[in-house]
Amino acid sequence: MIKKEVEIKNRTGLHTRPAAMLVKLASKFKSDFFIEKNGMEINGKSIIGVMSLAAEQGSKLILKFDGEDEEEAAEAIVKLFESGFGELEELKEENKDGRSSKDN
Amino acid sequence: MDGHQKIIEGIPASPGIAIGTALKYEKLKPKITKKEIKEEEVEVEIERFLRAIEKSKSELSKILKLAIERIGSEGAQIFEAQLLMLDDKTMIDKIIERIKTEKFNAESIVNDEVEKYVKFMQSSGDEYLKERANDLEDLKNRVIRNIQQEKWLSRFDTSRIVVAENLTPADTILFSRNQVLGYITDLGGYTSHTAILARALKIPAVVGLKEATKFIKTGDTVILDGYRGIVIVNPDQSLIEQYQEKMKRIAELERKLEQLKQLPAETMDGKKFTLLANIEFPDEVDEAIENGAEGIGLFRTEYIINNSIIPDEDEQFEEYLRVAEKIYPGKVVIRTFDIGGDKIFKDYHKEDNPFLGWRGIRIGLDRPDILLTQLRAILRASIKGNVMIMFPMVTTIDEVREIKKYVEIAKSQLREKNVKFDESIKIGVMIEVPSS
Repeated sequence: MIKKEVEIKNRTGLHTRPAAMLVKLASKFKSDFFIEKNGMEINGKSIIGVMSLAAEQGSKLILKFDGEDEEEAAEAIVKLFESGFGELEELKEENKDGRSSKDN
Repeated sequence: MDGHQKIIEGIPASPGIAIGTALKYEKLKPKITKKEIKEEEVEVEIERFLRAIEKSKSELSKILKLAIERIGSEGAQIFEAQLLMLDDKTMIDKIIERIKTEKFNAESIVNDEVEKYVKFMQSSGDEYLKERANDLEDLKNRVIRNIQQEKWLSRFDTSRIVVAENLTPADTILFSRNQVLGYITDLGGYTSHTAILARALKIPAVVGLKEATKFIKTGDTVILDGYRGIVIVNPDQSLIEQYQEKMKRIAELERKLEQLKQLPAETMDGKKFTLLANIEFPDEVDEAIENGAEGIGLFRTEYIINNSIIPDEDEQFEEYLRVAEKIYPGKVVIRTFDIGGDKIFKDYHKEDNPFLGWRGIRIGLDRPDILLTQLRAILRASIKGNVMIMFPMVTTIDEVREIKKYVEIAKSQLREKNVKFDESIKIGVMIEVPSS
């Protein structure tokens, strides 16, 4: 099993669209994928589960991958979190708008 | 009918007036009885469940299509989210698994499994998630209804004012295929789904009436005043006539304005001036632009306060930024909260004449925490230089000095955090009190 810690970077958090992207990507892999936040664990392949985590910008999550393709799964999914779910454009906007960000 | 007239006050959710016959919509919650099933019935139950999922998907796809047609894809997103939830394979597998091992009827398992997540979402402090909990609950009821092969009424023949305890987004959209004159609900606020969708559909609505369904019966004559947020049940003939007259005047005015909107804003002798719109809600910006406004002359911010709760700086910032971005390069004048103290702090302060006393900027100056939070949010939204600030109910020059002091404090708080804003932001005051 692989464990990774990630932080939510995109402004809107894991709301519907990013949750859907995450679940879609996770479902491509055979490995089990679970997400833990503040002691609560949900199945990362369930959109209802992911949404109910209420992970906002700045939340820290522990991702757990278990199965034959766990390494590939971990790499792809961590990358998705790091890319801010394709909301990087928004991230740049935030900097302009005066939001503090580590990239600044 | 005269003599039984009753006026109920609620929240104005979508502007307009409707006079008509009430149709009370009582959505029956599905009855769920937990029933044990035999081994040989397991496959049948799973089949019932899967068929209900497919049926729900096709219903929701139709609603999504209808919503996109009526209100555009942004407003229709909520139905897309529900469709995504219906595709949750993990949830579906889990339910099938439980039917197999626990051997209970499909609807009781669906109810039990989905309800766990609904409860979890409801218990969170996150407003967004609470709304999603409603969506999920709504979805659950749809699937259970389809398992039981029941139908919900959504069509009626003549024009009606729909009265309900609460309406789901799907109800609101589906009803709009009929001659809906207006929506009246016991629950909800200015930012609830029904309110937002009703505005997008341009159907008058009053929500948050608390006991409308108690006082209104199907067939009652009702006046719905979406401007003032009131509903009059069994109105006197004279009041009906007054309202009919008012509707005529509004229709006439709109017809005249419609003809005018394409004309440039200038006087007969060619002097040009700027035409600005007043708004109470960010959504109205689009309509203002559509109708020829070059900017927002007054953006009232009171709508943000929901049930006496003032949102934090980030949340306010997002709202102000939305308006500033939409109207850019046009300008927007954002007015700080102008609300009677009694509305915000019910127990904090009581007085006889709230209109002349503790309200507007006087609350702001007494509660600098509230004022500074709002100022920082507005300043952050001013980044493109198209935002101005207006202070309501200002009486004395001392108040102006104090206001300026707070603007400077807010600015320096932002500078300390290296947050950018329009350094040369303009401020103004509203002179509207007799003593000024």
